[in-house]
Amino acid sequence: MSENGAHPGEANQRLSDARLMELSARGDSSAFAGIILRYQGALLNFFRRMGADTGDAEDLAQETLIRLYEYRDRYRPISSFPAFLFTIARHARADMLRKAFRSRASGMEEPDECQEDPAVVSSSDDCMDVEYALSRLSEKLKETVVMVIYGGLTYPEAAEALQIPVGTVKSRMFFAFEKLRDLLLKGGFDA
Amino acid sequence: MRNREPVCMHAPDLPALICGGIEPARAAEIRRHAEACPSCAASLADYGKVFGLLQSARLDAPDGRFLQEVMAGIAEGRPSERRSLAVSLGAAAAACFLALILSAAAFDSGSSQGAKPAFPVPSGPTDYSREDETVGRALDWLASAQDPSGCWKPAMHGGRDQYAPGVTGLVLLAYFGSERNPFEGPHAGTVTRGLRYLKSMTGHDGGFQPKGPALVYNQALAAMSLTAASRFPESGVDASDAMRPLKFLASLQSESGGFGEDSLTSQPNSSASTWAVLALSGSGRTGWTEGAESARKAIAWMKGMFDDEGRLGYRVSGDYPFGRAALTAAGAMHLAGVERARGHGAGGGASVMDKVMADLAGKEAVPDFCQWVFAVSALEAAGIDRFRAASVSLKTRIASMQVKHGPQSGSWDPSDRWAAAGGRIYSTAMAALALETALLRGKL
Repeated sequence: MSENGAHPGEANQRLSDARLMELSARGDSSAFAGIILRYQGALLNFFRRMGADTGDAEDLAQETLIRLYEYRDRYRPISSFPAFLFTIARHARADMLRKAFRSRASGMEEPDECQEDPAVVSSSDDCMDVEYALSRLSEKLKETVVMVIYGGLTYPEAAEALQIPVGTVKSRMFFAFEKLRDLLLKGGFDA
Repeated sequence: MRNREPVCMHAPDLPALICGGIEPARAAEIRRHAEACPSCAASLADYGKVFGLLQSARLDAPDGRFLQEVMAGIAEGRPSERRSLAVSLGAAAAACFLALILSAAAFDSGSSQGAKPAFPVPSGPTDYSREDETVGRALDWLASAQDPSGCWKPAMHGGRDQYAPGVTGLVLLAYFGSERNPFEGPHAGTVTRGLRYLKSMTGHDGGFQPKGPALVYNQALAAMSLTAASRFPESGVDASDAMRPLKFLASLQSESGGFGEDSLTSQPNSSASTWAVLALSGSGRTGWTEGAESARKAIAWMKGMFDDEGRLGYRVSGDYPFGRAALTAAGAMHLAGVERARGHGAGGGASVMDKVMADLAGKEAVPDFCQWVFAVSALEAAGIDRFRAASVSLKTRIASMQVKHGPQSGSWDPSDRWAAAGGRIYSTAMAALALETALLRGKL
């Protein structure tokens, strides 16, 4: 804690992502704490809305940030920092799903295009809440809309993280909003 | 649903207008268009609502502990120390539970204690404190949720208050099921207040209010906790305090042997009967021996509810209005208990146990705290290694679902089909009971 009671990371909140990463690479742990404070909420929301339960979402957010720390030397300011971070996040999630698939002899399956999270399904008796609606999107649509809405990425940043053209982000967002419109506003869960 | 073609060529730009992912000049252009295009105007209005709903589901940022944990993870080093989180935590927790179970097996006369496990023993450090910590956090949260009156009010946590006596009994069972003496340590006052509430709510006839659909559940759970408390002189609960609710419970038994939800007028079902059996089977501790006979009669009724696959039906064989998983686990628990009492191990219940394992692993494996409590009891009572391994796996999963941060830290989200009755109080108490293997410990 600093003398004024704030965490050292909070004192860095006015610095840019690139500057914080640069300081982190030089061994300034308070700069990296600033990155954590800035992005922890976005990461947690991203993983949670992608279908992880609360505990797994927190584990994945931690894993992502620890990997980010390990890769701090590799980040170059020419690319978008959020895109860099969420690329790591996607890989962390994919790794966890793969390991879970291998380690559990029973039950869990690799995600397919439109796999529903059973925990989410069961928590939504009226089938009309946001979690359930998101669970009805295909993996690609869900990942795009969750990254933009909850991760706070711009279309170009999402395109970079997802390694797709910006136009594809735009079309995925359109199709996702159309389906969410059906699900959330028109009760079209049978669609 | 197939992706539909946009009605207007500008429609794909509309979400960007809402989400801010478009250049200002282009945004102004699209906005002007939308004002003149009825289709886009309608879409834009709806997208705004969708965006608002999505935003309303945004979670708060984690508290300060999250930052500390990440920094600690960095300090510990990777990847040698910090493997894939889910795997490493799961293995450590599994090792912990496995150790506890194997140590508990020393007291099981019919167990395969001493035999080499037929399943792979998880590697990693054996940390006995980890399970204690998980249960301890649950008990801390439950203490924080207690009403000043001593009861736990489900309506404050997503449930219904007509279940307050039963939910209070359920929470107290979680305290009695832990390794600690509930009347020593930080929760002694919590437990004492809870028991005082139950005693004050016991009617002259031994019944709890209200006398509605919650009656048998309230009666059974409250009676179970009072029975458990009566073993402790410092509890202020004596045998007669427990005996009266048990006798009232037995009075609700139908001639067929089963129990319905509310009274003799409701059709018996195996769900209510399960809890009644659990309560009545411990009635001998109060000095009232007829309760055990009532329990045997209920079990005999339930035996007629099994189908050809060994699954327990709800009102009749083959009746599964609320899904099969919880009742199958309950049936397996009863069978395992009966066969174990006869010294037969899993015996004929083994095939049912396989159904229990399949339910836990299959696509229908959604959160179900009732299923989990019954399944843990059944799998571990069977005294067979592969069933115990499944129990270890289940407990690891349950532990991993505990809320770790924020005001609900230590609880479990009320995410199963039964949570509408007891809310977060129910889900947390049931998770603790499952982790404690409380129904098998002989304390309840």
